[in-house]
Amino acid sequence: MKKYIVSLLCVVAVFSGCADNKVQATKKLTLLAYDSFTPTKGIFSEFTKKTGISVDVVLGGDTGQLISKAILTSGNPEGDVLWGVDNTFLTRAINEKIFAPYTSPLTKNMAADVIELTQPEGAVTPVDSGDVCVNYDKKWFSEHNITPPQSLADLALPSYKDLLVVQNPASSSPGLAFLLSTISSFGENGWQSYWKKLRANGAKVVDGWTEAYTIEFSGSSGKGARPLVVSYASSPPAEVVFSDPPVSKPPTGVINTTCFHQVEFAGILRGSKNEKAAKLLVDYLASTTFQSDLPLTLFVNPVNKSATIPDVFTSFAARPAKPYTMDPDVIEKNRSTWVDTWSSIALR
Amino acid sequence: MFVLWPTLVVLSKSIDRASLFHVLSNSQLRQMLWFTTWQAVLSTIGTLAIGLPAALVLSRYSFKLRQMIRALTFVPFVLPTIVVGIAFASLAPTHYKSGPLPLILAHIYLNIAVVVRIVGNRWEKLPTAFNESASLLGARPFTNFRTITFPLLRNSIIGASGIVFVFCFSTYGAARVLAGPRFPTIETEIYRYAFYIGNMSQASALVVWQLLVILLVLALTYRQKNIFLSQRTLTPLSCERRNKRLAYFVCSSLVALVTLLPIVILFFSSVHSTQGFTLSHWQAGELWTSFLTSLSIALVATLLALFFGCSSAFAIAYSTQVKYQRMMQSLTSLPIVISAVALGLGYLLAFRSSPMNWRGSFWLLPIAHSAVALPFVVRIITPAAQEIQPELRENALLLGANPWKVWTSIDLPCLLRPIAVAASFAFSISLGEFGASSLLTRNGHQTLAMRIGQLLSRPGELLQKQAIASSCLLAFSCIAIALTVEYAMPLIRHKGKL
Repeated sequence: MKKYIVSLLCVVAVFSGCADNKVQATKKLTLLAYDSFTPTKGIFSEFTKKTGISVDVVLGGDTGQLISKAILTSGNPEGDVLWGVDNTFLTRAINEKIFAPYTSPLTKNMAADVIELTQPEGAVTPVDSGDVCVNYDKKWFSEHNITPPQSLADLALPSYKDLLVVQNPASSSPGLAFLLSTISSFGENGWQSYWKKLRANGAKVVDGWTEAYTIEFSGSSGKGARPLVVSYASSPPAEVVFSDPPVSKPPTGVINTTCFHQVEFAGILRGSKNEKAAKLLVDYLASTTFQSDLPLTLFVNPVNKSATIPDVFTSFAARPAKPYTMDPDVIEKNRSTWVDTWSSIALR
Repeated sequence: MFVLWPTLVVLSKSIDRASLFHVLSNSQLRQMLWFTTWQAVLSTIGTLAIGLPAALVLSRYSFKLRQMIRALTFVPFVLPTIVVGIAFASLAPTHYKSGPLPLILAHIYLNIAVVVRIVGNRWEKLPTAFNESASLLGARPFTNFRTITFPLLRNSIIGASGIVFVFCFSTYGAARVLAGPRFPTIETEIYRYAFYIGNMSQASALVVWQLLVILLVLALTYRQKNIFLSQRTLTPLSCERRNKRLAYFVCSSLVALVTLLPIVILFFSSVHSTQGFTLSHWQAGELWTSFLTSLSIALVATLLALFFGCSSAFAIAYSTQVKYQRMMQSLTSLPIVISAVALGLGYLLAFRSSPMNWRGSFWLLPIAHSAVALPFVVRIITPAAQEIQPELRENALLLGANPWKVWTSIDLPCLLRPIAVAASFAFSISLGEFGASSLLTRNGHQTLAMRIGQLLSRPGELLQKQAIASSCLLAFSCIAIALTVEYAMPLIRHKGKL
């Protein structure tokens, strides 16, 4: 019986805890982000000091989950501001009207091609950018005396047979980005035959980034069998910053000609009861302070040009000169057809 | 006691609401269903093949470290499947890293505990008199097993198979890592449709199909209470012959070793760096904060699960109507029947408007955990409550005891052990839960399981090592809980003697 009483007390405690939350909710904003949103702890204290508004960061799964949930709760959102919709999901998010349009004035500090993505709707504010590229294990290639591939086409050559591991574009964001790279590169009519060649050349498909990078890839912790993996242009500096034991040079490199450019956005969720405060928070996310924190915590490029970028990031992160890009509308229109076609070529 | 039902009803409603009218006519989806089914069948058979001998040895024979080994078999079950998947993938030879075989092996590994617990619990209580008479009459051990032990155990074996099948059928984490995109299972497809394709109606249709199959299996494997069970756990036999005893010891050590091996390997890689031994991955402050968060959430979840679980178990056990019993049984099974994706989205939709706008509340997490643990609590406590002979209660009433007195002096002492076992189950499930709760939006208080997921999703050897250390901590906590229950139980039972 004791247990009953204890659990009853617990329930009561829990309910009263809830009442407390409600009272404090006035000067508080909720920032909704994907699971790997890991800025420096206390980064929002400066914002709180300036505005008197405290920020509660809540995590809602990966980008796909985040957007799906935001669509399900469109108009009655789980938070005030959403961090992390990227150009592959942007059109869906805008079509489903999950955002209350707002673009921070700080976009004046951003590159023209980045701002262009938010037009004409002006629904969101760009906050970071990055590239999805094929990474290679430096040691493997030097030990085997093979030069790493130089282009997407090279990946289908016999000398690189059974070396590449990619993610399923149907369930992984880098996987989709890589598919989009190949579509931009070989065109609407050429990419299918490229993937047929890639499959014949032994490219392995796994479900997500974690499986590809930490299990199959030979250049990181998993010590798998494949020295080529689809990952990010900023994976090499991450390998240095989070190395064990410490190293001064990354064990991996990036093949600059394989990259797809991703831009991530933050927006105010439609139905937020604190829209005015939310605008301040979006401005803060685009501000120099916050943007300078991004390279070594989220391993993405700041979009605000006045942000400072640490040396370890500039020296090891690849900055591909001409990454592939694609109009978010085109991506949204064709995604499911492309992914289905891809599945029938690469999986079945 | 009906506090949880509204939640579940709202859940099922929210699932209906998303249009369910897609009929499965697609050949790819049919193929996927077929794969999901046959891998689940094979996994169940494999689990029984290993689990039954283990259950025999661990429940019938006493030897040194028996309790320890029994506790160990329990650990894989509560490890997050993604961790098991990664441990398996890193152990497997290159060409067998993905595909149906590693998936089935991982399922066997994960579910041995279910068989050992459910069947072993029965086996412990089978009177040996029949077997002894049969032996005296000249029955050989195999005949003895086939004609006496097996029929007596049949119901619990069928029940255990049902649960194992359900788990393997709705596999998610292990399937993502081990089966790979060439072999989608129903749960990974639900996830994909819901979150990447954004086709909720197709996802809901799959949820319903999954629900139907699982309900069918559970209905087929549901059994009335067993007869011929003795009230108390029998004292385990000590084996007379030395070599027999040795054989049993070796046999069960093997089981323990197999369950431990992946954990040991994980542990070594967490304390090993190219410069030798290091504890640095265990010293990360966040590791221990998230551990504390996990512990406190698990505590609340356990209490909630026990509260709801006990109430439903008693309702089932004390009611005389079979129909009502069945209904309660299936209601309390809902959390394992409904796909984690659906459950997560259900919470999202159910608690979205005031006065129930609890999304992102920290206590939604323990509630979700307790919902996941509830079916186990009910399944552990119900049979025990049913086995209390009504005569005992009636006699006590006749002798003038009030109902409260009857409950505390008859029911409670008999139920202490199952309640403790159920509590350990609930606690461990909450520690490792990373299905439904990973879909809940939650604030900065990270649990250990969430931390593992987050660390594994970023590059850098350091983070991977920290993830491994976190997994080890999780495994060790589960071992500690299981050991506590195994060793503390005899004491409680002694105290509770009538």
